[in-house]
Formats: sequence, structure tokens, C-alpha cells
Amino acid sequence: MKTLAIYLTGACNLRCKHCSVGFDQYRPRQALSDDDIIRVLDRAREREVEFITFLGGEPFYSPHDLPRIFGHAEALGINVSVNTNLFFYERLEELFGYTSLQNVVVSVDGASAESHDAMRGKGSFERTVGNLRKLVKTRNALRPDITIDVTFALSDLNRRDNLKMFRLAEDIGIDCLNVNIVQPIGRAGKFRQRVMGDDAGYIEALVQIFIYFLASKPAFKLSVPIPPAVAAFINQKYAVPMEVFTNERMCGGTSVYTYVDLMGNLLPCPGLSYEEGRNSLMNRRQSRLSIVDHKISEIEESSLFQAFETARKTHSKNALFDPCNRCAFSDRCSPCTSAYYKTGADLEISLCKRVSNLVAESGEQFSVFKQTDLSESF
Amino acid sequence: MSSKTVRKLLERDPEFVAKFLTGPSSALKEYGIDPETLPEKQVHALEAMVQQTQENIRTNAKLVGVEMAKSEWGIGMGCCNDVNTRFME
Ligand SMILES: C[S@@+](CC[C@H](N)C(=O)[O-])C[C@H]1O[C@@H](n2cnc3c(N)ncnc32)[C@H](O)[C@@H]1O
Ligand code: SF4
Ligand code: SF4
Repeated sequence: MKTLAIYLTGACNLRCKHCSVGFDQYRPRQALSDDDIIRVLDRAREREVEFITFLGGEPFYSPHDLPRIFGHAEALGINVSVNTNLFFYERLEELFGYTSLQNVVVSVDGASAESHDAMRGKGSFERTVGNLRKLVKTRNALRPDITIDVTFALSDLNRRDNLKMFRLAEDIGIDCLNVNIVQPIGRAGKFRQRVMGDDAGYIEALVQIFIYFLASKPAFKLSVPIPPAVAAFINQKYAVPMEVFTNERMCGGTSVYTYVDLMGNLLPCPGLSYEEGRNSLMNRRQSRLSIVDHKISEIEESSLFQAFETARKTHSKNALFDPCNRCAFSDRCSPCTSAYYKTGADLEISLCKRVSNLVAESGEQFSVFKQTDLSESF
Repeated sequence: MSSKTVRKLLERDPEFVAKFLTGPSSALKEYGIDPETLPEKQVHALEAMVQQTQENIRTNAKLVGVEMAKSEWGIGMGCCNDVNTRFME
């Protein structure tokens, strides 16, 4: 296990249209105390975890004593990454003195106020991007070892900015552009139509991102999670070489990372504990899963971890997901495992489903997805 | 606008390339050329250019390296385990 992600707080200063955190933003549940977080860091050290990633909500919109936490991580030799909307730059600046701070991931959801603010609220583009430019400048001067990523959650509200994002990223001087495929969960489920839009336009925006990257050879990295069926479709339809962008192992739960929720449960993956679809078991600290009370290695023995890992490794849940249940990659692909363990979650992999919808509508030949039984459509 | 201009765009403007390869007619229209009125000779020239552009992209794709599962990762459902791609020197 490489990374331990910690859900530092559900609370947030913004109300993004697409936010998977859902109600956690305005009905924040308890968060772990500073002492608990310090405990978690010790457990991570003991388990030889390399990275801690702080998630939220907004990590800088929480009362935690971050200098104390980052100082402790430094003493333990653990590297820390933090995901932020960068509204509260001063709180990040306080952490520049700690070598544990190694990576900052900033959400920018458009290359202009028009699209970014449509997702994140009025005035947020100016504030976030202004602070991001400041951050890059300070980083260059004081801490060139820190990497700075931008995460762009591609949705129907910002897909027309898909290529302008490259120019903005180049101009600001970031290290990596992450393109998140927007998932219809949390508030993105509530604003589904506006956030998801139509399948054809969405896939085309995605394809253009790959072509632009390959044609422009930017100085930064690009990270886009693409399951093999989607890659095959893009390659077939647009002749874009997709090998390097393809990921058959998207689920890293239990193997690459695990996750500490607001109650102090150690869970296989973040997908398991947001408001939407959160299993009611996760509403309290489980004696078996509590990282405050147990070593990580002990929790890894629990039945939840064992079942999750088996499902991921054997691809057994693919038989239940649409369109995995009729996909040629089903025996080697590991998409989101957590979806299966959620209550009321759609048993589908959204991006693949969108491609399968497109294929069905257009009548195109695409051999990766077997035809569904005709009786299903009646 | 002539096919020469299109060639220049394909060589220099990655935004045009991305749009042209996903929707040639709408890309041409956006850049001020009506594809309906193109003489046949120019249409053939364009087809050859598309092939050349795709060839360039395939060549570039060979220069891209992959880093799996670094510290950076998103939290959207099912996209946690990142593949980071970058051009190698
Ligand atoms: C939930 S936020 C938490 C950190 C911080 N508040 C921020 O906005 O960066 C983490 C990342 O997940 C992305 N995200 C939120 N909801 C999403 C969804 N439904 N699908 C895909 N990505 C999503 C956000 O855009 C952001 O980049
Ligand atoms: S995406 Fe981030 S900034 Fe936006 S509402 Fe969710 S947690 Fe807050
Ligand atoms: S449909 Fe499922 S098995 Fe097939 S590529 Fe997509 S996620 Fe993987």
C-alpha cells in the first residue's frame, strides 16, 4: 500500500455542482481530532506508507492544526499531498516550511470564469487561479521540490474549455493535468442533466484532449483514467493511439491506497463513505475497522478488506456491472470495486456505459461489447 | 482559405488538429472555410493531410511514457489509480 488518503473534513466553503461529497458539505459529520490524525500518521509510518493524501471537503476549511500535522509527518518521513480549491492560500503558505508537503492538487474546472464558475460558483475562478499563480511563483522560489497538479473535472458545463485548459496549464506552469471523468454521484447526481450532458459531446471532448496532448507535446504530465473499452472505441473511431492512456487497473483500493473516513474507519477506498451511497455501517466507528484502535495490518485482515481485495483481483463483480457484464475486457479489467458495496448505487461504470449508449444509438459495429439480449429492450 | 492554410494549421495549431480529427467539417467551418465548396482536388489533398497528421500523432505517441500509481490521484469514483503520461526527453 502506497498511499493513505484521509478524509480530513466533509465541510466546504463551496457548493460545486458536480461534487461527489454531496450533503457532507453542509451537514458535516464529526471529523477526527488532531490527536487522532497524529495517531493515524503513526500507523501509516508503521505500515511503511509512502504518501498521505488529504481530501475533503476542503482541507483548508477545517479547524485542524495543520502545521502540527505536517510537522509530525515530516518527523516520520512521510510525504503529504493535499487536494484543495485554494481559496485559503494563507493556510497553505504556513506549510511551506515543512518538507513533508510534497504535492498540491488544485481544482480548476475551466479556463475561464464562465465555465469554472458555472461549476464552482461566482468569483471562484479569479480567486483560485490567482492563488494558483501565486503558489507556482512561491514554489519556484522556495520549494522547487513540491509538485503542483491541476484537476479538471470534465463535465457538460466546461467541456468546451477542454483544450483551453492546456494553454492555461502551460501558462501557469503546473506539473500535471488530471482530467477527472465526472461521476453522477453526490451533487452531480442531483444536477445530473446539467453536469453529465449528452454522451456524444462528452466523448468528443475527451478525444480532443488526447489528440491535443499528442499534437502539442506539453511540458507537463497528463492523467486521464480510461478503461480499456473506452480506449478501444476511441482508437477505432478516431484512430488515436490509446495504449499509454489505458488503465485496466483503475481500482487501487487495498493495493495502492486505503482510506480513513471521518469516523476513523479504515476503508478500502474513498468511494465507500460519502453521503451519497454511503453504507449506514459507515456512520459510526466500527470496532473492527477503527484505525484509532488498530494497526493498519490488523484491519487489512478484516472481512471487508478481504472481500474487497478478492473482488478486485478476481474481477468477480464485473458480472454485475453494466456494461462490464458484456465486455470483452471483463476478465482482466478492475473498474471501481466500491460501487458494489454502496447502498443504492448504480451498478454501472459510467464512462463505459456512455460509450455503449453511443454505439447502440449509432448502430456502429463495436465488437468489445457483446450485443445485449434483444428481449431486454422489450 | 486553401488547403495550404489547412496544412499550416495542422502543423502548428494543436487545437485545430484536435477539432479537425474529431469533426472535419465543423472544424473547417469554425476556421472560416465551407467544406461544401471545396474543389475535388483540394478534398484529396485534405485526405492526404489527415493521414499525415495521424501518422505524426502515432509517432508522438511512441514518445510518451507512463508512470503508474504515483502519489497523485483523483477521487472521482473509479479513477483513483492514476496513469500519468508524459513526453520523454
Ligand atoms: C471533492 S474535491 C475535495 C478537495 C477540494 N475541496 C477541491 O475541490 O479540490 C476533490 C476532487 O474531486 C473532484 N470531484 C468532485 N466531485 C466529482 C465527481 N462527481 N466526479 C469526478 N470528480 C469529482 C473535484 O473536482 C476535485 O478535483
Ligand atoms: S469539489 Fe471540492 S470545492 Fe467543490 S464543493 Fe466539493 S469539496 Fe468543495
Ligand atoms: S465495461 Fe467494465 S470491464 Fe469493460 S472496460 Fe469498461 S470498466 Fe472495464
